[in-house]
Amino acid sequence: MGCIIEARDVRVILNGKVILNDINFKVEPGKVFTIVGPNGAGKTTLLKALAGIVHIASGTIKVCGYDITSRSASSVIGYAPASITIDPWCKVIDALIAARYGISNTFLPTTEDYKEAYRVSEILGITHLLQRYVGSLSSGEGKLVLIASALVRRPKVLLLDEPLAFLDVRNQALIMRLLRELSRRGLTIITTSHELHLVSTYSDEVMLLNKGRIVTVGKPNEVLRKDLLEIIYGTKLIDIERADQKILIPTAKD
Amino acid sequence: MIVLLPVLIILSLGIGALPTVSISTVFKMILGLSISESEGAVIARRLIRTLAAIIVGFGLSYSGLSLQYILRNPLAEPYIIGLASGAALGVLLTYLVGLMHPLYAFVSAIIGALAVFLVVLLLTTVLGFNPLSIIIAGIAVTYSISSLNIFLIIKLLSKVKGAFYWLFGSVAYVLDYQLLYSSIPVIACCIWLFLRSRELTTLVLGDEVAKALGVNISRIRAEVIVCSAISTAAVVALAGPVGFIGLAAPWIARLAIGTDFRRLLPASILAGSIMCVSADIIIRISSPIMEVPLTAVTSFMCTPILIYLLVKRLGWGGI
Repeated sequence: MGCIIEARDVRVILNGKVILNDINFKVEPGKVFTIVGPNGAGKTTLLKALAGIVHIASGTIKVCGYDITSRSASSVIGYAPASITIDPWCKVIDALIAARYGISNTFLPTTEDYKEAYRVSEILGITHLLQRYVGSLSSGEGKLVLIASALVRRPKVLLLDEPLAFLDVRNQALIMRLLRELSRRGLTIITTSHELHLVSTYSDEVMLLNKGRIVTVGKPNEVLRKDLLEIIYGTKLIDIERADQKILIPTAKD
Repeated sequence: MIVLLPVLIILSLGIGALPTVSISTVFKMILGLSISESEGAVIARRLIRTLAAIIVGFGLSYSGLSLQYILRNPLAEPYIIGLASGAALGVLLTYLVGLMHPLYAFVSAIIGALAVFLVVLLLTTVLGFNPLSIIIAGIAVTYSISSLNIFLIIKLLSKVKGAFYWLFGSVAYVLDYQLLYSSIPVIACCIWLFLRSRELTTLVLGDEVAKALGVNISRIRAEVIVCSAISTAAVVALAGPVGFIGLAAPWIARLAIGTDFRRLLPASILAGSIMCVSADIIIRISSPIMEVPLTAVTSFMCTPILIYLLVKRLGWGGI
C-alpha cells in the first residue's frame, strides 16, 4: 500500500533566503517518520516540498517513484497543513468531497466519494460534524477535519504538519493510534511535531532539523537525546521515566 | 427555484407600460391563438428586455461566485473589485469620443475592466497580496472610477439616450443585437468556468492543499479573472453596472445548497437570473412611466432575502 519517499540534495529558497539546504533522506514503506526541530528550522517547508507545494531550487524528491513535480505524485499523497485553511463557510462534508479531487474521475461527486467521506469520518469520530460549517468548529475539531481531508484520498503517503497540535489528550491518543494502525497497513507517513514527549510513542524514525539542515536522523531514542536537544533548542530539558522509556519535557527552572 | 424562472419570464412578458398587452395575451401567444401584430411587437420588445435581465443576472452571479472562490473572500464581486466600474469607464469613454456602436462599447468595456483590475492588482501588491487587501484596493479604485464615471455621464446626458439609467443599471433600452453581442461571451465564459468546476471546488480547502491535490492555482486564478472581466464587461456594456447581484446571488445559492462549485454555479446563475428578472418586473409595476434604475431595486429586494437566509442557516450570532 505504501511506498518510498526519497529526497536527494534538496535545496529550497524562498524570497531569496535559503530555507532548506543539503536535505537527503529516505523513508521506507510502512514507517512513521517525524521531523522535529525548533521554530523556523524548516520543518513545514520540508513537508510542503514533499507535498509539491513549495518549489525546490535544486535536488530531487521522489514519491512512489514519481518525481514530485509530476501530476501523478499528487494522486498518491494526502496532505494536511498545521492550521485550518478550509473556507469557514464550507460544510465539513463538502470539504471532504472536495479533497477527493483527482481520485474519482467523474465530474460530479459519486456515492463512492460520500461513502469514503463517511468511512473516514467514522474512524476519526467526526460524523456528527459533517453538516457543520468549518468556521463553527473548535481548533481541535478543525484539525480532525484536516486530517480526514488527507485520509479521504486513500493516499499511499500521508504528510501531516503537526497532527497533534490543538488536540486534547483523547484525540492525541486517537491520532497516534491511527498513525500506528495506518503504518501497519503499509502507509508511509511523515509528520512534523513539537510534542517531543509524544514523538517516540508513534514514530519509527525521527529527523532533527535545525536552520534548514539535517542534524541527525535515526530511531527516536537515538535522536531525542537530552544533550543534543538542549543544544539545538537552547533550553534546559528534564528526563521523566515513563513506562519503558524516557521522555523529555522543558522546564521553567534555570 | 427552477420553476420560478419560467413563471417570472411569463409575468415579465405580460407586464409593462402598455396594459392592453397582458399575461392573457402572452398565454394566447403560447397556445398559438392569434394576437395582433402590435401586441406581438410589444411582447417581442419585452422578451428582449427579459432576456437581457436574465443575461445580467447570469453573468454577474457566476462572476461574483468565481471571484469569491479564487480570492477566498465572501465580499468579492465584480462591483467591489473594480471590474464593473472599469467596464463602465471604458464604455463611457467610447461614447465620449463618438463611437456609439455596441461592439466598440463591448470591446472598450473589456479593456476598461481589465485595466482597472490591473490597477487594483498593482495596489494589492503594494499592500501585500491577501484576500482583504484586494478588497480594500478594489473599493478604493471603484470609488475613484465611479466619481470619474459620474462626471462623464453628466457630459453625455444630452448625447446618449438613457445614459443616466445605464449608469445605475437598466435593461429598458437594450436592443436585440446588443443582447446577442453580450450573451455570447457571457455564456462562453460560463461554460469555460463550469468545465473548471472540479478545480475551483478544491479552493475551499485553501491554496496549499489545493496545490498538493495537483491543482494549478495560478492558472485557475488567471482564468477566473479573465472570464469574470469579460463577462462583467459584456453585462456592463449591455445594461450598465448593476450592483449587489454578484454578491447576493452566490450567497443565496451557497446558503441553500452548500459549497460544491459544480452545483453552486448553476444555482447561482438561477438565483441571479431570478433576482434580475424580478427586479425588472417590480420596476415596471412600481414606476411604469419614469422607471427607477435596476440597482436600486436589486439592492433593496435582495438584502432582506440574504439576511433572512443567513439568520435561518447560521442562527443569531453567525457561524
